[in-house]
Formats: sequence, C-alpha cells, structure tokens
Amino acid sequence: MESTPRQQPDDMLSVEHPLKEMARMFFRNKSAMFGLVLLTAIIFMALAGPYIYSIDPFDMVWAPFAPPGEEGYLMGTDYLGRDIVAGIIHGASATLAVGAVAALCTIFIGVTLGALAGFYGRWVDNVLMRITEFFQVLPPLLFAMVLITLFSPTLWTIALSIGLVSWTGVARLTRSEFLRIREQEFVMAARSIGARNWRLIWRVILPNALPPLIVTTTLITGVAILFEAGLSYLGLTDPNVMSWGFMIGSNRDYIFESWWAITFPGLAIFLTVLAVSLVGDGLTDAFNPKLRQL
Amino acid sequence: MMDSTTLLDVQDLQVRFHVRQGTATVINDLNLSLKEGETLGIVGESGCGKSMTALAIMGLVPSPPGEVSAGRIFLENEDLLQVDAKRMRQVRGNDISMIFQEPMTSLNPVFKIGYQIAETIRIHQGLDRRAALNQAIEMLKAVDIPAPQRRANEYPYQLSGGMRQRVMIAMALACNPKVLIADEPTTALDVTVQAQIFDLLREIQERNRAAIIFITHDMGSIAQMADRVAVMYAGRKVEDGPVGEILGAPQHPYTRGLIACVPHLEKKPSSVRRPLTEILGVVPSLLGRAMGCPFAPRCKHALQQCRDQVPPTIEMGRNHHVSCWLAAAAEAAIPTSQTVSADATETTPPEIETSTAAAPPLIRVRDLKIHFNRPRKSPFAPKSWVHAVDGVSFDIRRGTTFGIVGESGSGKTTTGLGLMRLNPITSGRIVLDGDDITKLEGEDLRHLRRRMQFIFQDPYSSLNPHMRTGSIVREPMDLLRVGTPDERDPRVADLFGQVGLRAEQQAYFPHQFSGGQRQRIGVARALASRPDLVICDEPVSALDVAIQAQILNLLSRLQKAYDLTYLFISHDLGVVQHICDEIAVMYLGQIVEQADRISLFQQPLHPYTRALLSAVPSAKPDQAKTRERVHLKGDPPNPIDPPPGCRFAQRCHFANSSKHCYTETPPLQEVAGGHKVACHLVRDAGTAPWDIQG
Repeated sequence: MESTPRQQPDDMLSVEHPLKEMARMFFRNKSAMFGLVLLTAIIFMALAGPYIYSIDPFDMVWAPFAPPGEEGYLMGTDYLGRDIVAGIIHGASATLAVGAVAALCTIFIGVTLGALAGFYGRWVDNVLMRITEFFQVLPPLLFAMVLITLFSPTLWTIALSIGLVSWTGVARLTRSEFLRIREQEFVMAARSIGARNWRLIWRVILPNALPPLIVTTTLITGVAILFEAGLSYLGLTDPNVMSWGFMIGSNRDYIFESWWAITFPGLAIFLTVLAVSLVGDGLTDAFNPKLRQL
Repeated sequence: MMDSTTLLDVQDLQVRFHVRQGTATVINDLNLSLKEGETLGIVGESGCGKSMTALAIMGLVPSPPGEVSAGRIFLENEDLLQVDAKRMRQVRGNDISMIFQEPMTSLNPVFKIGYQIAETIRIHQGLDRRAALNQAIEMLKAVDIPAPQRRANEYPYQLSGGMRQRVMIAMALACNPKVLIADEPTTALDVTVQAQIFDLLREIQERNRAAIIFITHDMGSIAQMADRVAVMYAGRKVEDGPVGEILGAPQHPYTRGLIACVPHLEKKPSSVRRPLTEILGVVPSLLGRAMGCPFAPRCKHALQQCRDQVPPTIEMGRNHHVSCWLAAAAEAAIPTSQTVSADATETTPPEIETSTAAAPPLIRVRDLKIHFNRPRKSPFAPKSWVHAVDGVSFDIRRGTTFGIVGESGSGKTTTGLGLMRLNPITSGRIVLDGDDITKLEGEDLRHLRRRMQFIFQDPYSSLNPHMRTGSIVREPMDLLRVGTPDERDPRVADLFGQVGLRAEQQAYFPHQFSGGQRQRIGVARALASRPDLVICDEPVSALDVAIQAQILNLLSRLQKAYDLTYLFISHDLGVVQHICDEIAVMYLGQIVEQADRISLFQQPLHPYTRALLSAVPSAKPDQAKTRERVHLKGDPPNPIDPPPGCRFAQRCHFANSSKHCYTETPPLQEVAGGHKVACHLVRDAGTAPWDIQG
C-alpha cells in the first residue's frame, strides 16, 4: 500500500556474517534479552546451585508442612519435611534436561518427516503421513506411559518418550509450510540454477519455514516440562531424581495443607517456559530478514 | 460547482496514513466530478492513489492507520464524509457499488452464486428470499451468463474467471446503483474475455444511465472505456480532460511518458525497432511533507520552481486541466506535438536493428508433449491427463527472440519450463545446439542449467527472501562452478552494473527493492552462468508500464551485448510485437500460427490470432472505437479433455463441419515464406474465407 515507504539506502555497507548479524538483532531486542537472562539464571541455578545450596532435597530437614520462612526454610517444607528450596534447585537440571531433550527429539523427528513428506509429495508423503497419523491417534499420555513402563522410568526414557509422542504436530506444521513454500517461484528459480534436492530442502525452503517452527519448539519445551510433571503426578518418574514435576506430583494430595509445596515448583516451571518463549520470539525476529534492515 | 447533472463531486480530498515511519499523504487536493451516464477513467502507476480514491468514495479507507483528513465528497447533494455509518451502509451497494480487480478471490467460496447476489438485494431492498433469488437470476441474465437458473445454484469454483467477473458485476448492479466503481476490473483476465467485459459494461451503462469510475493502469482500456480521464501521480491529479485530448495531445510530462512507454500494437510494424521511451526512476515515497511537484525528480524538464512549489492547475482547453509549472510558465516550454514518441522527457536510447534472419537454430523442439497426471478421486476411477502442451515444434535461431503468446491455460509457461527440463516431458525431442537434452538426468541435467536460464514472472516471489541479493546472483556460479571462486565476486558486481543497479546494493535483501529492481536482480541471476538461451516467462507482466519499458530495454541491450537468444513468453501482444523476431501463437497446448513479427501482425491468418489481435484495446484514440472487432464467445475449453478436431472450432465463427473442423486436427503448415498456420480453412495466404468476405 501507499503507506509503506520504500527503502532507498545509499551508503556503502559491508556484509556482516549472518550469525553475527542475527546476534546483533537479538541483543537489541529487550524482551528477548530479558528471556535470555532469565534462562541463563535458571541454567546457572541448575548447574551450580547444588554445590552452593547443598541440602539434599530428599532429606527430612524439618517438620512437615512448615510454611515458607519458618526456621529459615524460605519456601517451607513438604509433607515429609523436605526443603522446597533444595527441591527447586536440585530439580532444575532434571527438569530442564527433560524439556530440552524432548523438544530436540520432537524437532528432529517432526521436521525431518514433515520436510520429506512436504517436499517429495506423492508416495513419500502418503507413507510418512500415515505413520504420523498412526502416532496421532494414540492418546499421548497413555502411549508415553506404556513406553516408560516398558523401558523402566529413567530420566532418558521419560524425555525420549515425551519426544516420541509429541512430534506429530511439528511434522504436520513442517509439511504444510513446505507445501506452501515449495510452490513459490524462488524454489523453481533455485532448481533452475542447478540446486540439488538436499539444498532445496535445507537451505532454500527450511529457512523460510522456520518462524512458525521456532514458536512451536518453544511451546513444546514448556509442554514437555508440564508433561513430565503430569507423568510424575501419575507416579511414572525416576524416584531417585528430583524434578519440579516430581515435587508437584508427590505433593498433590496435600494441596490444602501446604499450597507452597506445589506453588513454588509451579512458578519455577512458569518462569522457565516464559524465558524459553521470549528467547524463541527473539530468535524468530532475528531470523526475519524484513526486520534485519541495514 | 454543482450543475444539475453532476452526480458525484469530490472536492479537495486528502487522505493520510499514519504509520510508524511518519505520516504519508496518499491523496492530496483531489478534485473529481462525475456526470450522469459518464465514464471517468483514472490512470496512473501503482501507489499513485487510484484505488485509495475509490475506497475514499466508498467510505472504506482502512482506519486506522488511514484517515480522510480534508475535503468533501458529494453524492448528489449529500456529503458522504458527514453522514453516519448507518446511512453510509445504505449508500454502499445501493447508490455506489464497486467491482474489484481479482474475481478469483472477491466471491465467497462457500456460498452459491445466486445466494450471494440475493443477499445484497435482500439487505438493500428488503425483498424476501424467493423474490431476491428470482431477481438475482434476472441479474445473471442481464450480465449474459448462459443458463442463469443453473449457474445461480453453483459455487464460485465452478465458474471461470470471466464468469466470476460477470457475477461480480451482477452483484454490483443488483440494486441499480447511480455510480459504479470498477477498480482494474479486467487486469486479471485474458484479452478476449476483457473485450467481453468491456462490452458488457458499456451496454449496462447505456441501459441504466449509471456513471462509471474506471480505474486502470492501461491506456488502451482507457481509450476504449472512458469519456474523460484523470491522470494521478503520487496522490495528486496531474492532468484531466476528455479522453481524445489526453491520449492525443497530453500536456503533462507524466501523461506523455505513460503513453510513450507502452509498446503499442501496430497493424504494420516497422522493420526497425526503436527502444521504448522510459520514465526514469520510480514513484516516490509519500511519507513526510511533499515539496514542489511530485513528478519533478523523474521529469527531464523540471525547473527549480518545480522542486520548490506545488504547481498550479491550469486550464488548457475545455475541461482540460493540467498541474504543471512548465505549462504555467509558457505553453511553448514543452513541444505540444501530436506525436509523443520521441519526447525529450524520456530517455531514448539508440535504435536496435532487427536480427539477421540467417542465423542457425540454437534450439530445436519437435513434437513436444507435456501431459500432467490428474489425481484420481478413487483408485478405481479412470486415469485422466491435462494436455498442457500437446505436440509443439519450433526452432529458435541464435541471437534472436522467439515469442510465444497465448491466453492463460494455453501452455506457454509449461512449454518454457519443459525446455528447461523443470517439468517432466511426456514425449518429443529438444535439441540444444546439437545435443539432445530431452532425456538428461542428474549431473548432466545440472550442467545443462549453465547454458539455459529462466527469468520468472513475479519479481516478488522469485527471489529467496532470506538471501542477500549479492548471494542470489552469485549462487548459480557457485552451484554450477562457473569460473574460479575468486572471479565470482567481481562478476557479481559487474552484473549488478550491467542491469543498472549499484554494486553496494548486493548487501540488501530482496524486500528492500522495488518490483522493477527485483526483476533486474532476476535478470542478473539468469545471466550469471553465461547462458546461451534465456527463457523469459512474462518478465514484465507484474510491473508498472513505466518500469516495464525499462526492463524491456534492458533485455534488448543485454541481448545485443552478449548475443543472447530469448524465448519470450507473454500474453501482451504489444510487448511481443516490440521485442520478438518470430512469434508463435498458442491455443490449448498447440501452436495455431507462427510467423515473423511483421507478417504475423500485417497478415494474421488463423481466426484465433485475428480475434486476439482485435481484442487488444488500442490507445490511439482514433483507432480505439473504429477498429474492426472479432469477438469470441465463451471461454477456452478445458485442457483435460480437449475437443477432437481443431481445438478452436467451438469458438470459431468459421468452423465448418464439411471442412472437418470438428473431427480432424489441422496440421501446422507453411503457407508463405516462414508463415505457418494450423487451420483447415487456410490453404495458402489470402484464401481464407474471412479475407474473401472482406
């Protein structure tokens, strides 16, 4: 429309490395930076926290149901008298690991299958989409429970099971983006200058499909963390590893006696998901060439 | 100001948009008036405020960010800018209605045609369902839709583009409006269909005494449709007057440029081709406060005064006004010649001579067939194919331009992609410079890309938005290993210079360029691998006429500089006549006529070619209304099950069962030196029945 001005830049500018430029764009974005700081703090807490705050989260340190602040326990204790602060700090690493591994697993399977199905179409699409539908019709929670009980509940099996039941949405999204972008003339143009299929998929189409994929990934990280909480709630969890989900799960029966025992882990999950989505939004913007004005 | 017959009067209209970067004045000091039964044409490049004028009259300026900041719009004696929303809703559809550019998307796909028209009638005239539906069917009849009863029960997807535009017109006319605004109503349609729509609009105007505002970028359509013309530039009206005067003796440098830069279809093309006159640069940004004449930066005659002060509006004759300092200063300042071809306003590069006829063929195509498999509804349904290209043969001589013209669906783009081996080929042979390339696969096929390149139609979607333009131009050299890596960057810079861009613009992303500049990048990319043959698929059809001339001249210049061979695909006969040496006319996947540019236009033989030529609106005011017209009925048949015999027979006025038109496919036969035609009725040049009939 008439209102959009046309950029007519005149000055000579050297080309920055794309990654460097993306970083510059990202660091300029205030909310993305807030997310990054928050996420860094959470990761730092997960890595260094246990050495600084060395109370064992499984130890009974004080009377059960102690409200926050009593006897120096900032977040109180749970029904077994375990320190909630210790649980939050020691449970961070497991929670983050589950979220990250599940999200990576989801992205890896979903993008690969979706890209191949959308790009090649025909029978490849048919076969891959039937597989996707097979996974889609299974109720994810039940399916994850079956997988975990089959392979004994360790952190790894939990994370991979979550990934294995949640990639279908990503696959469908990737496929539909590929179907849309595949028809654009620049893809034909790339073919006409001799680009091989591999290049078309990963270098030409995928970058253009990334924005919705990045948003979905950040959401999936959050969903995976909550999924783990849900599995813990059902008791399907590694009993030797502290996690935020485990804390919520084990305290579920005492919600009226000690609201703090689930509120604080819940808040921790909320902040983590928020940080990841802010970072994700920032990445989407940094990747958008239209916002990368020189 | 208002005399008795003035229906619509726009006074000092100003529309502004408040955007992040500032305030843009998209319409400024606009005055228009429209009398009963009159057609006012509005022309100008995109971004000049034509459509915004229509929206302002309809009270549909998107707000925010838009705002009608000054002016009055009188419909009869009512100021439409003062009335409330309820009254405005009555005005819209009832008194003023609008036809949009894109018939494919302006009908709601989930409702039946009849229902959509009846809805308008129900809302405005308060009729009940049954009565409204009956009236809707009457309307469909009025716009010449065959079998209106049946069509009213169909969904938009079941109708062709031309039919849909008729439905849009029926809907717009449903309440018998006083003013009809047609915003580029035929831009998305083929020329033969465009001619039908024009006839319909004129007929309706006579019947209803409606006034029409006709918005277009095409001077030919203006000549056909308008009584008066207003030329808009950057939100201002720069000239207005009776159609004959505007086209015959334009006063404003911009009007002159607009007329001169279009390659007009000549009946007897001259053998010497002149480059088109160009208007330099692009439409300016409308942000901020405008200083002086908006056209001054692109005007060769601009004086200091032009840059400092807004020009006054001067009366040049009866109802002819122009806003230009040059006209104000002295009418002798601009030569007021009748011919506008060689005006000093535009740059006129030196002439190009016609290419030599004796060059050997670079590419030979024999009996090329490209059929697409249609997806079947069930595994038991019979297989069916779309016969997109069905037995096409031609040679393109080195260093020449071979044109393919045809309407949409004729298979011209499919042929081009097939030559590039970007489409699967069903059968036939393609020989490039002695090498059979029909069956190349894998790495051999990739190497073929070095010798053949493609320029795409849409400059907005043919460049990867995630790549810098420098990398876009460099990419083919990297992929096809053209030259050594060290040579590539200097070559990219050189190519940027060749296509008229600055080397430092390599650092920008495609969205930072205008449409014309993007097409220049597309040209640079195509030339990067030093190809012999460049296939240009409608390279200028998405561009404004002023920019179109720049790109066509660029292509001609590059052809000469690098001895390039072009396959030029287009639906625009004027452009094809301008740039091509030899031309093939395609209809439903087959070539119906093929000749050099002079004989094809001087002596078109096939009835389809003749219909096509006569359907092109001429911008010469004397020719516009007098020229003989051959009108085609209906739409092209479906390429899924092409009719047996001559594919054109169903729409042909001369088809004759005694000549086997309906049963045998006519072969493409040579009738005179190099002039080939596929028609049973033409045995040799000059013996066609339509020539005898005179």
